[in-house]
Amino acid sequence: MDDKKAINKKKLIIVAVLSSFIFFTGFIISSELSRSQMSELSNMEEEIKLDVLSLETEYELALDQPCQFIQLETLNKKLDELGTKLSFMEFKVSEDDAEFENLKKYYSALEIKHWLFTRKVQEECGSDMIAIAYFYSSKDCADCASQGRVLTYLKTDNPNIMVYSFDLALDFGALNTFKKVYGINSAPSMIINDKTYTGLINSEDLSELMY
Amino acid sequence: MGVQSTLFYVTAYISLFTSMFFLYTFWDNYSSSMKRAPPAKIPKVTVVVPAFNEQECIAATIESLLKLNYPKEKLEIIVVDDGSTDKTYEIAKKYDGGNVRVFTKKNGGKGSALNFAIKKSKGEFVGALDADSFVHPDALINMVGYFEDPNIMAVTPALKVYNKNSILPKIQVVEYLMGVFLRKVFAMLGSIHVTPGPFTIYRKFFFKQYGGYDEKNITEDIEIALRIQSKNYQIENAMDACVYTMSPTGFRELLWQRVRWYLGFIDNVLNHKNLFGFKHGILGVLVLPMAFFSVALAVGAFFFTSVLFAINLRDQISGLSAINYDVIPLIKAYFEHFHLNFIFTSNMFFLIVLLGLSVVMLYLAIKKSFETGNKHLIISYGIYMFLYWILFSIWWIAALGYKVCGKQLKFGGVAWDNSLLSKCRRNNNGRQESNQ
Repeated sequence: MDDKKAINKKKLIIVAVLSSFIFFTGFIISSELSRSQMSELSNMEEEIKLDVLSLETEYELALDQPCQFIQLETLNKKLDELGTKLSFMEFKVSEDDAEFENLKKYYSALEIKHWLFTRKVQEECGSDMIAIAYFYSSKDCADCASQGRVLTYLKTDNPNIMVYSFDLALDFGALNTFKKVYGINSAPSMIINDKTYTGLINSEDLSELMY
Repeated sequence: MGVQSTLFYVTAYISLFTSMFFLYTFWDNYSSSMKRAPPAKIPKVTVVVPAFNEQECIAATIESLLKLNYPKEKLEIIVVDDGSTDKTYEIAKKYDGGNVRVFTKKNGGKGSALNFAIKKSKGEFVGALDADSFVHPDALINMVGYFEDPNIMAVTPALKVYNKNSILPKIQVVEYLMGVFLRKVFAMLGSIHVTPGPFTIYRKFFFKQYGGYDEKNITEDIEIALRIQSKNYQIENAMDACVYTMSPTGFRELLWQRVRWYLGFIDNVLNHKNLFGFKHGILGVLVLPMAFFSVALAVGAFFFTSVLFAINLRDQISGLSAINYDVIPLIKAYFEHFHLNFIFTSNMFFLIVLLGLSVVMLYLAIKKSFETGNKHLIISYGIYMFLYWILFSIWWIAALGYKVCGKQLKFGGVAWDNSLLSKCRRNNNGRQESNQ
């Protein structure tokens, strides 16, 4: 065999070391990024928790004319942003990531609290906010992506619509009770104006149900 | 970690290792193997132009050979018209005389035309130039220096695309440039396994010693390269010897070309199975196995992506019909909620690194082969990255389909009837005849 064809072990080892270095650098960068993103989400949740508490307290304090003081928009935007970031994260983390599941549970608990408050404001102040609780599943639900798209579509042109998304698979007290009270056991399902609807609903039908 | 992620990371590591290995090899051997000065005594070279129905290009091909910066008395040009039915012979005949000789013969395929000319050649070295290709004036003089080493039986050029106007040639421009880099690296590793039809120069000794081209082979250039390798001789590459070839512009034409190449590759590699393994070093352990790995990878990725795409398309259509196909608000929402740092994943990191390495290879190919005139190379590279693996998969799926159950095919003057099904039929018929 000529020299060129000969297997140069030293060269192979150098290349293997260099490739492994790049390979593990990729993993380290990505896991560091995930960690900082998780911490960003956690901070956002704490901030929202404080906002919800502050809003409720404000409402209770303004005994005479509570409706004048209520500004839901800022909090709605924060909840929306957190929800989007969580859905981006969902693609990246493994299914059994306990830290991420806790973030999702916390987010869902905040959503339930905010949903209840929005409903209260709606009843007591006659606000034109529309609160939709949407239950999806990331597994075995062909219509969930379509339903999500319909809700995004309606929400984009109508800032009064507030969508609260819940992963049906999450298992914790507040969400389980919420599901039980409204008879939710499959996805996609929605609670609109205190009524439960199951199955894909297109944009036209959904608009009619809301108003 | 799921099966999907594991497969991705294994593939990413193998691709990373191979790319790094090729770049390291190039860097490590750069100073010793980039240029060879022509020998003090310029050798006589015969260039053969086999032509079958090439009336459009034959004149330009001969003209380009006549413009070679090589002593006329040391250059012999033999044009062989392989039974064309158009005006190829009449056009070529106009150049007959001086150091150009023109012959015509009954159609028998490229291999037979080359063997016909080799017998008549007077050069110590014999080169072939397909009748749809053109040489740079310095190509030959930049190649002959490599033959100072008596173990070198062939020298390959830097093969590039001549026509760059439509989408398919644009993709091939980048594919061929990547080939320019890889062929040089393979030469550095003693692992060239294809000596392209356009302007590979051979030492005539090899033909005398081990026979001429295999006339029944549909890719005689792969066969001769593997034969040289199996006899433990070397094949070199001159990165500064540029040769330009007309690339197919239509999808069917290109598909047909690739089916021929890939069927020829499979058959010839199977005929030279002994090249696999440690006995033939990097060629047997890395280069040939990687050629098959890249096919398996591309075809596997193609099927996987097609299934995902079909499912996604079904969901998209269902989702879009639920909003009466009014997509503008959705696009608006997508950009409003776009968080770049949340999209980044380790998969993206590896893809960016691999993309970066391929850009370095392309840059080296352009710089070291003095490539010019590619104004829109970035666009070509974008189209190449997006479409090439899909085309590559389709070509291979078609070739594998023919290999398994294809009927007889005809390429030029050579018939191919080597599918597994045909072989089974032939074996059965043989058995029945022997039983009778």
